[in-house]
Amino acid sequence: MTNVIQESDNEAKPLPVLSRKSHLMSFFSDLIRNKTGFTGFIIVCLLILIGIFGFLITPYNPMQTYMTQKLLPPLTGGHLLGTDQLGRDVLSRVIVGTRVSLTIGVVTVIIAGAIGTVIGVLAGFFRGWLDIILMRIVDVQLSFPFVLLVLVVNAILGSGLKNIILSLIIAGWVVFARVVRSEVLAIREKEFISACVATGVSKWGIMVKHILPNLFTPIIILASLQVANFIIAEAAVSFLGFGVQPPQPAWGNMLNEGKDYIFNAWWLITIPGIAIVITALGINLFGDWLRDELDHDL
Amino acid sequence: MENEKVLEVIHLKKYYTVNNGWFSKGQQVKAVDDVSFSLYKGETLGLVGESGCGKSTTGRTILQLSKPTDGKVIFEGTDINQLNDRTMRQLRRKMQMIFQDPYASLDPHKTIQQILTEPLNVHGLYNKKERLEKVREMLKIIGLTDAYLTRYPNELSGGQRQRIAIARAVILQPTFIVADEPVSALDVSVQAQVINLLMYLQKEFQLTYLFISHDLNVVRHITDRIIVMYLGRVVEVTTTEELFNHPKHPYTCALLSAIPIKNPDEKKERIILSGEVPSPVNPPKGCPFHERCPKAMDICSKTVPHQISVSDGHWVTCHLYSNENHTTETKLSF
Repeated sequence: MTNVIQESDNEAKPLPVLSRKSHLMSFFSDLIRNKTGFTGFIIVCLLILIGIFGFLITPYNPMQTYMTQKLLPPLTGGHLLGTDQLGRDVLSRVIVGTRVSLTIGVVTVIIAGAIGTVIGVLAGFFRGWLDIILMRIVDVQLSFPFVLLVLVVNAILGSGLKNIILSLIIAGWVVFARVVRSEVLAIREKEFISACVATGVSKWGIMVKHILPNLFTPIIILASLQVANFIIAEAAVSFLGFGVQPPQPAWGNMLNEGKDYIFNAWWLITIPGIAIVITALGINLFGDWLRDELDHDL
Repeated sequence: MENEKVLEVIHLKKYYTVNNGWFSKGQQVKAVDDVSFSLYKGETLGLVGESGCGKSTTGRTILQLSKPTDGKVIFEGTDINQLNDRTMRQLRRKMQMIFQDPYASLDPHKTIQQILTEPLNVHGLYNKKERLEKVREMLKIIGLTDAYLTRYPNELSGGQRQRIAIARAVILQPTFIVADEPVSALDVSVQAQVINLLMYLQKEFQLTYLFISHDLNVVRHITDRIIVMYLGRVVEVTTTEELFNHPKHPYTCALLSAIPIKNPDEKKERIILSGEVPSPVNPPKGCPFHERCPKAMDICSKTVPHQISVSDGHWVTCHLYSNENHTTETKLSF
């Protein structure tokens, strides 16, 4: 036995010290090297730019009606993406609608995600009666179809941008709570949590400093999916006549108005539909990459 | 070894309730059943036994990582089962743990610096600058350079991770460390390195170890005394010398005969136990070992044996020795 014991420290090779700045640099160089992640990143950046500065580049006034030029197909009469039943420029309306849709998607995900995370962490960490009560509330909510719930809440609150965001949050936090809770249940059994207890870290310390950072990956994935989901839900609600009210353009109510002309003006629903798809795709691609990049488990 | 007691474990019990269904009555698993021992300052006490015998549970229960069902754990004169959350957390500074799997025991989202600074932060030791100094010092002791400060655990090898885990435990300068199979997840070459580090740190910081392991060679190398456990019970307690030279309990004899020998020409009598380890849900009546014991007698299946002193500091829980010597059925005074 004794002859086996000898110092062998060949593992410890000198490593370059990484500063904070070079961490950020390597983050971006990784991003550029990854094609899908970079595509997603570009799409998300473009959407944000369009959302903020879009109104400056609209070729026409999105609210202005020209009854003489109604239902022009794309690439005719100086309208790149055609006009709608009231002669409004579709391109301009899609651009302006970006802000509404993005605001709805991003704001709801941030707030619903925060609420769901807090509730999920509390339920998963403390278990017991708190867990039972919170999760039964979640169960009740999950037993209703999502869009129906949004509709009901929205019908009570009334239409408008603020209220559609509020009703999406009320209907949407449960998904975060459920996913976060199950993740917390898995994380709290891990050995490094026992190690924290053994070190003497308090319960709140464990929750905030060890469980929350380890939830980052699943939350990012879920959030990137939910942004797209919420945009689509808003579209569905607006499509049914609630939500964002005309003449204010949003992708959802553009779909709603276009549905009546589906057989003779295909572009009216196709174009906002494509906008939704591209947004969802971009966010998902970027979210996927972000998850891989931030995951230190691998 | 005759110096002060650091830790005294008295009749420690940890039972788990197993539920088979909604309407069935829960069955009890006696993971740790009436374990008592003392730990003296500066010694390394080995806790050995096959997997599932309750070694790790004993270690975790002593540190209150799981609440004991019954019994007392007295650390430096205070019964730590009675402490409230806050005082217990403060006391943890003096009693630390090294876990088996270094791949699971380090938070993957924390850098090495964060991992090593955390214990100091939690217990409010030193100021910010001194903490970093302390962490660097510790890294040097475990043989890693400052460059590792900004690394994440996934960038380190198993041996390096375990050394970090050891550093995290030792940085608070505790008096007592539970090492739960600290080398069993590592390569043999790295095992030696980690064992040497543990022995060096013990000398340097006057640590007391409870060293849990199933590897008898490692245990022989590092420990001063050994407790052998079987099915949640203590079977034999004595010094390492005595245990390897004069094992008394039939289970210990069988365990020792299973150690591989270096010389292939050397013949060694191997005691092969029949049957499986009984389920702790339904342990045999009497001595838990009697069903597999080559020397079982009638009494073994009827009454539970008590701990018997066969020589100074050597205790055996076996009926074989109950007539020899003068039986002293004191369970606490060893």
